[in-house]
Amino acid sequence: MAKADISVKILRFQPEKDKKPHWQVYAIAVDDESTILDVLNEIHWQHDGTLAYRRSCRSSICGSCAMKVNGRNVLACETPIHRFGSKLKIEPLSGFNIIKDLVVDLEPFFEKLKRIKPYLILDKPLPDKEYVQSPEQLEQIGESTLCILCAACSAACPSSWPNQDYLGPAALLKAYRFIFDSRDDGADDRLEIVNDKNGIWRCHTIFNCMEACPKKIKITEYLSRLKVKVVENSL
Amino acid sequence: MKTDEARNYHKIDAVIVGAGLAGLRAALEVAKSGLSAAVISKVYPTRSHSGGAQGGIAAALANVSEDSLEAHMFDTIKGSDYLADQNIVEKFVNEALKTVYEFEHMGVPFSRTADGRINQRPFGGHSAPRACFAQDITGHVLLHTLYEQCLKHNVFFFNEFQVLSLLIENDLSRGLVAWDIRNGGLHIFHARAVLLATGGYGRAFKVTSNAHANTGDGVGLVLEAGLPLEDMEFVQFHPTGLYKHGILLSEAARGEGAYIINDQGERFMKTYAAAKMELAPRDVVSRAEQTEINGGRGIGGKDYVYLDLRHLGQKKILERLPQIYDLALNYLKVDAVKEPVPIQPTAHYSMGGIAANMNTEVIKDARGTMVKGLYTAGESSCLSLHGANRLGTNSLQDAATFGRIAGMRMSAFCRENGYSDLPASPLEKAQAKIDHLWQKEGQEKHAAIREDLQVNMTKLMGVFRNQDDMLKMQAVIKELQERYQKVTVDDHGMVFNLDLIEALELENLLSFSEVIVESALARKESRGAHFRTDFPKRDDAQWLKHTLAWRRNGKIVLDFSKEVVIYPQYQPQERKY
Amino acid sequence: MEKNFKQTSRSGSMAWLLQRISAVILFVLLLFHFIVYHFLTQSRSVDYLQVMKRAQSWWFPLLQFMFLLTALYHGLNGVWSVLEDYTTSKFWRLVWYSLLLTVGTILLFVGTLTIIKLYTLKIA
Repeated sequence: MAKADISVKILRFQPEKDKKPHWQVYAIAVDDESTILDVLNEIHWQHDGTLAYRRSCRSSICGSCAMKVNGRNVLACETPIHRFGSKLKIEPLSGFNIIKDLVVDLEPFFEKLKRIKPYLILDKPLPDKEYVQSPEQLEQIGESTLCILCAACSAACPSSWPNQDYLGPAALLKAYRFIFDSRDDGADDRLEIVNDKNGIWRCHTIFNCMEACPKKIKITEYLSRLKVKVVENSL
Repeated sequence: MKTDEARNYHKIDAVIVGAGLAGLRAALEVAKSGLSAAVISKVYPTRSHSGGAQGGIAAALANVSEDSLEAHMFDTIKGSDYLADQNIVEKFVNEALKTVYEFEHMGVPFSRTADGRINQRPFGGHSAPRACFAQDITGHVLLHTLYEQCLKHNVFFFNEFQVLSLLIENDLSRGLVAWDIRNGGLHIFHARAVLLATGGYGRAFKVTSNAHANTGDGVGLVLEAGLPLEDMEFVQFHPTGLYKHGILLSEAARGEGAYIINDQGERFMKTYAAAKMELAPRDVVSRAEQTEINGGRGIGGKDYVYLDLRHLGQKKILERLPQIYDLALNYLKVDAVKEPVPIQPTAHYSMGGIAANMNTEVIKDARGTMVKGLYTAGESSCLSLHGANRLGTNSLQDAATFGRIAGMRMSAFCRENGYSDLPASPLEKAQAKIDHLWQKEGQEKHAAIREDLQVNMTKLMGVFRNQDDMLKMQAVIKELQERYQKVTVDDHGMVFNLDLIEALELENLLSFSEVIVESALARKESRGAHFRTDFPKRDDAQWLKHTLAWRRNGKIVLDFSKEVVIYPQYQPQERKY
Repeated sequence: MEKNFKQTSRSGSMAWLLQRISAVILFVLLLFHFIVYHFLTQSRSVDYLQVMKRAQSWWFPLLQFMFLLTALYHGLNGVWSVLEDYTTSKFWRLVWYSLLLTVGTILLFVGTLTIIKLYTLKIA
């Protein structure tokens, strides 16, 4: 492991001091195998304790540390610095209000999730054991259940930027996940909720969400399937 | 729930600290019973570290081969090196099936057998394929499903709040005080019942699979409140931590047939557990690995061995173990289909924790005297279900099952008991903690103290322990605790002050680490995850008992009078795999 | 049923479906256009008489008119859906919508006029 000298430019915003976000540059030396999170920890622990960011699991499953690095939405914990060279530019996710530094306000994001009724809705009686679901039926929703709600997709979505009311890719993917679950009986409810200009129809198949997704979920494809389902249902 | 915004005061039936599997399951139970439940979590609920669990959740469904509750019970007891309380284990296995079916009815996307039932895979120490799984993201899907159910049942969430003090007077819990991370400021939560489901304490170690959040806050708060911790010396080291990072590579890999090999390319587990090989329990495999490494048979003589998945083939790896594949690729640039993955033992799970009885009620002494209205479940608790060593996939089951039981008990308690008065100045203790860190004259940095703690804990309190090392650690902790008195933080802002939170967490880390060391020093035997090279044998005559530890007048006081509950049919015997 | 988020007046499902249908029609028409112009032409050099003969057949104006309609709908509907993304005020939406409608009407008029003119033109 060798040391690497890097320059890290971070968009800082201290709400109690700053009127507007501004750039701050840190020149530090880190191991060349470091991740972006290692770099932030190094700065926070050794150079500037006032830097704020979210992080927890370090293993790309909790979704805390989504941020923009050199223009791309990534999870800081799983992204090695060598992907970007010796100059890093780190910003909070776009499209959200900044609380402080790299910490953005995710309340609207989680609020939208609630709106699509993100839970199994059942009309049928509960079986004694499990519901039977074939591997093929599971396959329909399998990949969509991998979503870690990191918000990288919504932050990358041009339809989301100007319109705070748009449900956004994450909530819509969650709607897909339940509507296409063979056990669920709540499809009609949810289809009506997403069948709105601020619902699924704000999606213009831009594919940014898919590119930004750290879990490589084919979000755009699932949203397209959702569109077909909505139309089938309303015809 | 009633909130007085001017005073930051919230009055609520049940307050649950921690939004992992145990906390959410309890909150759901309380909310379903028609009472108000609030979950306080320092991260958004879906960021909780239950989501990091990969391999599965144990239940003897017998979907893919014969299995029985008795077998699950025996495996758990044997895995615990006979330190588990067998009445707890019995309750646990009896509830396990219900817990899994409930999850399925909530919509958890379990992987399926060809005929559409929940699929199960083998796991270390289990005598049958008992791990119900969803690929290798089982904890993640359970956590998200539970969170969604909580939204459905209108559980209140206080996300990004750090609990700073428990309000307990005369053995009666009255609520707690928490710091609002996002906006700054202290909030009082006045509750009939409080659940501590704050998870594990792996962050005391440098090499760990645990999240940044796993700083054992609940464990630290209980110690501060003068209540006992149990069996804290038992820290599980997971054999397949990603080299250098410590990140978990699920035991599911070995469940699916992966090998562990040394520098000579041999499956060395044949020397240590000829029958079970790689699927021996974690304490056994971690010791075997460490022995190989210490004997110079690590890869290139270094401090790691290989986890070899290559013979499983690309299809199986990508279908069953996609997360493991991605982790190896992202963090070590290793393509697990083509190359073996470097691994080392990593601090993973805390068998010890807040002492509680089989109803998850927190106790204050070896006789089991209860602290009314205070509960604990999940990894922060010690009931004791896992004894000296936990079996893989029993933790998710533990968190969910005893989370549900905690929820039921809390609901019952709330219906029978009103709100107790708050102490005279409830904010005092919490405010003092904040003030202490914002003092101007300090010069110590929390990061430096934490680094010293973690590095030494990994070096001196690891897979193999001995008296000399532990005495050294004892001295290190004393020194660090003194340094902590002079700690200060750079950030004096109210809004999202990460600096402050990390310094507050460090106080807990230092506090319970002392208990780990004192308990381990006192227990002069080797049992489960606690292995002493100076006392390499299990000693049932002397040590078949639990460790209780209190902090009294700044010193750790130990008590070994709490007996292990043993049934006649499961008498301790030699543990071979 | 209650939709507890800021709802719009129209669902958008028909607009989406019509956009897809018009796209399919456009594709078929384009294919037809290619075949007619590039493969069914008898000689290498296209002369005035040939073109005018085709322009005054019974099917050609019909096809051109369909082309005009679908292309206009598809294009303007696309622009409208983008504009809707970026304008949220009712006033500006109305302004843009009226503008698109006006432009559409003018183009339709001009286009239709051209088709009729071609059809009725005396071949010398």
